[in-house]
Amino acid sequence: MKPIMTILAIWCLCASSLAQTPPLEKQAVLRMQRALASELDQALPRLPFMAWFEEVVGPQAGISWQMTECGERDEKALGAAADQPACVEIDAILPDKRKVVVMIAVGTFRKGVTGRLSFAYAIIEQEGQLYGVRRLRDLSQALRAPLLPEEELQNKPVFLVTNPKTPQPEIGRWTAPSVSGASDEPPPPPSPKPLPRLEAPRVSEGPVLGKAITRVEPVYPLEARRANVKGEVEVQVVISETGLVIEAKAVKGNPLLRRAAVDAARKWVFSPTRLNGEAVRSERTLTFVFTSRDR
Amino acid sequence: MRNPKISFNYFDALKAVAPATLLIIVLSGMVWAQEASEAGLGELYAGIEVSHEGVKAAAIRVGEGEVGESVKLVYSETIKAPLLPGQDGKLPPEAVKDAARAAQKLQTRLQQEYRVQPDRIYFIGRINSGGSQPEDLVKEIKQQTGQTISFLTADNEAQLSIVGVIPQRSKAGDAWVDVRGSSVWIEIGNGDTRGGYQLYKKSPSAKPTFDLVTMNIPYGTGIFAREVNRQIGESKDRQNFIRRAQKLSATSLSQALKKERERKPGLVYRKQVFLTGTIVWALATLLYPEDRQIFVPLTVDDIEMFGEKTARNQDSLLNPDLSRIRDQRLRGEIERELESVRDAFTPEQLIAGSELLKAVATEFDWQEKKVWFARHGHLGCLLSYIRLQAEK
Repeated sequence: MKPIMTILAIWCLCASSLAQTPPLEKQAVLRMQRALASELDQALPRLPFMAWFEEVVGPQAGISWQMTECGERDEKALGAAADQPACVEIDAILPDKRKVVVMIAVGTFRKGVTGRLSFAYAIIEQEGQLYGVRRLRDLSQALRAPLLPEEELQNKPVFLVTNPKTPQPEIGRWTAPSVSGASDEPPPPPSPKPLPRLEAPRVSEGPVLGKAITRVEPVYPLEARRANVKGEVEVQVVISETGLVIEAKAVKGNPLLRRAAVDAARKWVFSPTRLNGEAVRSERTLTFVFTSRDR
Repeated sequence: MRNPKISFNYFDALKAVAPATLLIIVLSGMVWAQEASEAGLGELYAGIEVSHEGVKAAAIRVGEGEVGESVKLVYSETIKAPLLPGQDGKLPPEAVKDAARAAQKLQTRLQQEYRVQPDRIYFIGRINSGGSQPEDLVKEIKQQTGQTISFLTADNEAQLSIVGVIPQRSKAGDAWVDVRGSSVWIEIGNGDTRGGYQLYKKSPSAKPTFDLVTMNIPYGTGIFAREVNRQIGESKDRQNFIRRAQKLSATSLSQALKKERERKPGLVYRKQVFLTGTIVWALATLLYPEDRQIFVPLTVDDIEMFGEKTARNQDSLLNPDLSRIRDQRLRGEIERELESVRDAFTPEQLIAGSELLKAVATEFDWQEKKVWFARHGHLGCLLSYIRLQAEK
């Protein structure tokens, strides 16, 4: 009886950690997190997919995922009654600014998560060019190459403006987008700094920095914002063998900020901690810092 | 969405040019820009945009920077000459004339005050006219300015706006994380509500490319207010207006939005929303007047509160307490902006705009998302276009 209760408790915690995301996304992400890399490509090891992916892109990469359309949109088929294939898109931005996109087909937007997960495609966006990666097993090798050969450039569109009624200026030919170099630094990142002057919650995770696969920043509670509440909130988390946060408890911090910090902590995903090669459950403390900015 | 005759890809083009540089320009404000103008370095390029919101002009200076190309905004101005289609769907002739005159005025300023060469001033139109070209506007602009105006398709406009509004990536701790690929741009305009998001496109046989999903519903702040007014007839009762606006929001507007979300899942699943449009500007300015950030974070609670105040207490909403702001310069700047907001809307338009915002937030499920008002987003499309032309 006890093991059943434990399983139920873990299941409830896992479910609540994703309770605020749309149901399909929740299902799909849970499915992805439970999947082994070998399910998607037999040549890959029997590691959880996320652990394998983190190894491939490295601990410095910023990883995020989302539900999305699986690529080719057929506009004609997209009538009111049409269903669309759904993919989980896993994005990683490497320290050298290359972007890796992996698309895993999980079902359709109407029917939900159906059947087996299948690798749809992967893309490396490098120096403004898009490179297709045919098999998941090739991703690691593709990323090791510092620059892909010119003949493999996949995206050199010719842009034409031919408005049938009003003449338009010629746009000309362009190369694909550039994502590297100093001139391509992004604008100031959008940091949540609502009034009263509160900075975006800075997130630190002590000794586990670099192991987190997905980091979620807390949403500022409106009450806290209005009350100009700031400070640190420490959240103790228990991480499952698969890297999910299955327990989160605020142990320090202003009560107005605790809930937001716990909600965010529950959405973090880690690469599994291993002991003698076995994935094990672990505990960590995450510190979310809410600070005010002087002006 | 994809019309092969007009399928060029601004996304790729702009990214190739200097996406982030452009954003930095757009987002860097006027003071810096003015310095660039005075420095007299680099080539000047400008654009004039005619839209439902009014007529905007902007000029940028392209030169050599320390690291590659340097691009700076030297001037921007908006003349309130909105072009809203009449009940018959056509643009009123007087509004067309006003818009053309405004364009001519801005063209003169660009040439005389900023010394922009005439052939480097580009004219674009962002008018939702049901797919047809507003020929009378084309003619009028030609007559007033001697120039030909180019109308952007929904795809082109979304591409330009997404690149001009949404940062490509941001820092999270030590790592870079993708922003543009996980965000959606929504503009709640005067004449309609539009937006879009970027996708990758790949089939087994094809090479990967960027794709784009766009949305458009024929309700903007002005149009929605007018429709409510039409439905309530002669009644000037505010409560009646509010009830009718809520009803219209729950029926036609909600239906139109549902239709979009069903076909375009990214509208719901994307984690960040970058908002532009005058009603969003009003919300951010009125609720958070001293927040001068380039991206102002907003929540669904803010939208609810804004709706509540537009319906119940517009006086207090339109006159926020600024006594806590001690910096006189900042306070003056805020007071001027508040004045602009008060000038920009009728009380009914504020109510209509807030209903629109609430409906979009509900249908597109913003509760758990990061929502931003992009302060300079209104220039995003125009500046992207000028930049693209300048690169030629």
